[in-house]
Amino acid sequence: MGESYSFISNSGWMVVLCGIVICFVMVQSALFLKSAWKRSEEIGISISDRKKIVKSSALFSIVPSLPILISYVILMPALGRFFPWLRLSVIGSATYETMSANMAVTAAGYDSISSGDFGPDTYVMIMWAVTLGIMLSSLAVLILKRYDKKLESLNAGNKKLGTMITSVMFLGMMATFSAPYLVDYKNVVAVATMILSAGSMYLLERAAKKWKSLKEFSFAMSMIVGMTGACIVSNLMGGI
Amino acid sequence: MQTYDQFNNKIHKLGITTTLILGVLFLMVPLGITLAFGVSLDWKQILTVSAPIALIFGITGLCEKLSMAPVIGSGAVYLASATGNVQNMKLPAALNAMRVMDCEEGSEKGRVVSIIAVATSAFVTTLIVFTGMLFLAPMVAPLLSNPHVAPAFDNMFPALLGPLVLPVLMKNFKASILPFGLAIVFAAVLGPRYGQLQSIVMVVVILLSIGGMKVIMSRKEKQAEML
Repeated sequence: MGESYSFISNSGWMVVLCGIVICFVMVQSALFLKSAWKRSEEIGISISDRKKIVKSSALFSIVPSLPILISYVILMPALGRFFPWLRLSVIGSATYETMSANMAVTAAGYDSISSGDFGPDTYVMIMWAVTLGIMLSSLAVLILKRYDKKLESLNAGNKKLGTMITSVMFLGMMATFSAPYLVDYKNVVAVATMILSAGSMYLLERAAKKWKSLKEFSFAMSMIVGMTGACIVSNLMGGI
Repeated sequence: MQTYDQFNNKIHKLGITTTLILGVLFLMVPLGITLAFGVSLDWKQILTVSAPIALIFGITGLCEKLSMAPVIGSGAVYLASATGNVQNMKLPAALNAMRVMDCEEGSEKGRVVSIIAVATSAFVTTLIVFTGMLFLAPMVAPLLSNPHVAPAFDNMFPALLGPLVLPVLMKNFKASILPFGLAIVFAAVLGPRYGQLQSIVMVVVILLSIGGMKVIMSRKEKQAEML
């Protein structure tokens, strides 16, 4: 990291300011959880089912969290210890943070984020650029109340149409995510990964009919099978 | 006991309030550093650099939220937006929880379950990133970047998609044909640009599919009336 700005990036001010934001997001999560927990009780979701959701979600979230640590290690030499901690803990995503930091650095006339030879003013400029860059996306949620009401009135007018729209939105979302992998059949590793994880999901779901508790873990287990398959296929193909 | 509307209004109020506070706190980080260290800034340069980033991610974020909200509910979207890593973690976590609990997309039960899933996922990620910041990242990163292990994480999204998409296809195969067909056409036509335009493509695919499904529905209704 550039010595010229480490007094800023690793300062006490930085820890406190970043820590406050992360603590606030944890409080926000706790408030949402409390509201949903209470409501789930009211609508008849049993405590054991709620625990099942927590267990399944916690287990599933471990593996996708690991690549965030790689992004942290990429960003840390240039942005210091604490700012990447904040950026990767809240809003955005690992992909966004790396991409936007690179865009800000190159726009400021440097080669890439890894160059890290900029001065304190450029470092603070990068902080501002990535912060302002994500604000619009983050504030987009402010239209949700109006959007929700609109969808509700549509649903009330024609229930069949409302159900169809929700269902199509879900299918459209899944279709858009999968399409690049379905088209890029030359990417054998990705295709094999998808087939393996889908195949294990099918088998685990069938097995879950007999062993009910398997259902909570089938998603995480299928994902791990797919990822292990990716390693095996890639190594067999010589890293293609 | 509160009604569905009361709960929904409470969630919107909580979501809007906390989003606005978070926005202010988020801005306080660079502002606090600028003031504490007396850094002089070229605002013209900051705005020139941040405007394209804001535009790209603003459109993507808006499309993402509009597509997700009817499926997993606004509460989960408020929280997912604040805690980040939406596509690769929060959305799959919510969909997984809905599947475990046999919830329909957009149902009240599904919305409540999604909030619990996203909040749990946020706690886990924050804890992992925190330990990463303290000591774990420099230890784990070389292992995860090892050439033999790296393909697992490079292909994490396809590994997520398999178990997410399969139950959807098995449950709604006929209804899936149109959106999947359209998305495949877009992916084939756009090629490498698809990744940048994915959220916009998602909205277009959804709108075209809704249009197509509406035509099919009205035809079926007409046929039923004739019979």
